[in-house]
Amino acid sequence: MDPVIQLAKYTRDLLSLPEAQIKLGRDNFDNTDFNETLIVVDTLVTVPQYNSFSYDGNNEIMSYIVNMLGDFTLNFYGLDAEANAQRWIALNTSEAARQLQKALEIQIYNGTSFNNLRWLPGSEYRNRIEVSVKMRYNIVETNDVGRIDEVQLDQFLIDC
Amino acid sequence: MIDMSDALDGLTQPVTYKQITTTTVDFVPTETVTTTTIDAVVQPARLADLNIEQVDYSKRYLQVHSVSPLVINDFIEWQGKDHKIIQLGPYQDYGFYEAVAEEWTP
Repeated sequence: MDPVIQLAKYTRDLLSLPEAQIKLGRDNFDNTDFNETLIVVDTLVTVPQYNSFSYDGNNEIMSYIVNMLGDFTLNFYGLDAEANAQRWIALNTSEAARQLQKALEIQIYNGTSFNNLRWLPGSEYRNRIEVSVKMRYNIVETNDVGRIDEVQLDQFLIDC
Repeated sequence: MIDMSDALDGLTQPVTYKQITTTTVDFVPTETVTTTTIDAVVQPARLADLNIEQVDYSKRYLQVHSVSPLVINDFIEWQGKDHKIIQLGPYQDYGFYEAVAEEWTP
């Protein structure tokens, strides 16, 4: 699972925006028009939280699960940047958001920051709002592990 | 404007022109390559036309002239190798297109 793609899908469906208006960070995209709506989804750092295991006895498959928690950013551009950012934060607590998170197997916490990056040192940019958010997701790897159907015990009695 | 497109007559050769369009479905990119054949004059690029700070001396640079539209990020296949168009000259108003293409390795 690519968590950035999952967050991008979540944003697309939550705000009902065309997929072409949502980009993955550092994807070498040329933005030619800063008036059009554009959302860039990126990640900063993710940290493993805990491990767990799950065994499917019927198929003899062991699943190794690592729960990850990370910082992700959404940069909103365009004339509707602030409106879209506010919509994203507000709808993040809706029932639709919960259903989307369940379907995408992610858990998104409320936004941790809402920064207006329009004025950067030494230069002027058009609208740019950055929302930081923490997101939890799982990494799952599987392995073939044989099932134990019958246990054979050997007992040794030592006569002292 | 003066139409100078006939300056290329007799000097052109057919070259393969590739346009790559990328679409995404659920953010998984899919590239579609559209191939056409255009007539163009192909020659080595002049050093004066290149950005000296960004030149990679291990690659070949071509200068391409054609009456067919040339677009940045499209590809010219010449002598079996793909070359990506990285620079356009300002001659569209005079009936032809000029471009600089860099040898491209995937």
